[in-house]
Amino acid sequence: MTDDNKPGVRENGLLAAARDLPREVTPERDLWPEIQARLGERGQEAAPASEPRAKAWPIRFAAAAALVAATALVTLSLVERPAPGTAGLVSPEPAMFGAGYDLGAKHQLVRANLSEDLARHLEALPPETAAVVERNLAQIRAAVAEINQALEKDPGNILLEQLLMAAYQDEMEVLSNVNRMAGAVPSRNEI
Amino acid sequence: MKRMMLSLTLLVACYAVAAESIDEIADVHPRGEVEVSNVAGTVTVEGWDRDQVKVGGELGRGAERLEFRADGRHTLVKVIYPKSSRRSGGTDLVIRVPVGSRLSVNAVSADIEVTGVEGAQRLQSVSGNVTTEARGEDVRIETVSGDLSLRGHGDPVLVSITTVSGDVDLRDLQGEVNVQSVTGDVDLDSRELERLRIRTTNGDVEARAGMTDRGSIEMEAINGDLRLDILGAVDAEFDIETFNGSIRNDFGPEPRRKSQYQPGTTLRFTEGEGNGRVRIKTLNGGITLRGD
Repeated sequence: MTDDNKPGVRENGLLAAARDLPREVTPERDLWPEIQARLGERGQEAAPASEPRAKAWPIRFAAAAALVAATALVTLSLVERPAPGTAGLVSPEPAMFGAGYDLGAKHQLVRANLSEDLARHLEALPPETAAVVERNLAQIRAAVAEINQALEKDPGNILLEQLLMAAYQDEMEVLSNVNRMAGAVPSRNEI
Repeated sequence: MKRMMLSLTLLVACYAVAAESIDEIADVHPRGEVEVSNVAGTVTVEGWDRDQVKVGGELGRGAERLEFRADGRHTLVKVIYPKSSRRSGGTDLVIRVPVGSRLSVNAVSADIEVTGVEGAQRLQSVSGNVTTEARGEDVRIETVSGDLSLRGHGDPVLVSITTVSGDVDLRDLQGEVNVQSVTGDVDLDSRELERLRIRTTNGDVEARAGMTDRGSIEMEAINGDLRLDILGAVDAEFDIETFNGSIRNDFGPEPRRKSQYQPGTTLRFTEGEGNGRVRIKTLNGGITLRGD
């Protein structure tokens, strides 16, 4: 996953884009005479009374379009956003092994799937227990990052490689164990 | 006022009905499997010398009923909750099982306490505490945040413990012990272990352990501090290493820096014939090794 595709980055980008949309758009030329001509005589009669409203119409149309676009962008970002507090679980950093090596697509796929399952299963757990799992998983991932940094400076260090492999195993075991335990828990609306 | 009194009476009546006593008993196989499921409350299991399973206790508010089924070698004790209910009071189960039963308990926040059961045990509670004894067959305990306590009774057993943040307390065990935690601390005191393996990310470990002939001890941590007091005669090869932590060794040679330019300290030596093996590794955690 590239940095741009990370949920937080992507969402911030979308919101920033929505904020940057113009609140009103002034047409390059005055469109009203043409519209008025097409409306014909009835339009000509109505024009004097509704002139201010008629002049405001393109502006309102543009503002509405901007609002729809902004809403769509925000909705898109919300629909794709994982449950609160689970963003880091669903999208862990790629599983690296020092500089330039990763644990492969298969490992990454299993890890991502287990992480997604976990984010879903945590909803069945009491909030404080779910928070414990998230904090502890974050600690394992922080340890992985720290070992990886050390391994970049000291490639081939056997101790670091052993500890890194063990940390990845711990991560997978926490993911699979908590998934299994939480999977056996009646969901909150069943308790 | 009358309406209020009526409501109060109904409320008390509902509570009285909901807090229902449990009293079930069935003949079972002396070495059958007993499976227990309870979300909240407590599960207390005691081994007894009858070929019967007896269930007592009190059904919690919100619990629908107790499912109790004994089919020869398999007994099920399960607290059933209505699907529409969001909250429930804890159910307290007191279960007596034949001493030789194999026991499986699943809980969410319920505490589990087991005494006098000699068959294999598989105990799991997400946030409840687990207390049990090892009496001859394998014991496997898993929690997320619940603490665990296990005491041995002189028989060699295989113990597997997995916890995320629960603290682990182990006493008087023999045989093989495997512990894995993320932030939970581990305290172990056992004189005759064939194999001990403890792995933690950020938990601290204090182990007072004796090794059998050709026994092995492996401890590993990222940031946790590891302390090992070896009980009794020491006859092992030692391989101790840390990347950023310190090593304190009360017997054997001094630890040495691996490189002048890189972090890392190692300590390798042999005590006695070197039949056993002690391996301790950390990233940042300190290591303390002491004799009896």
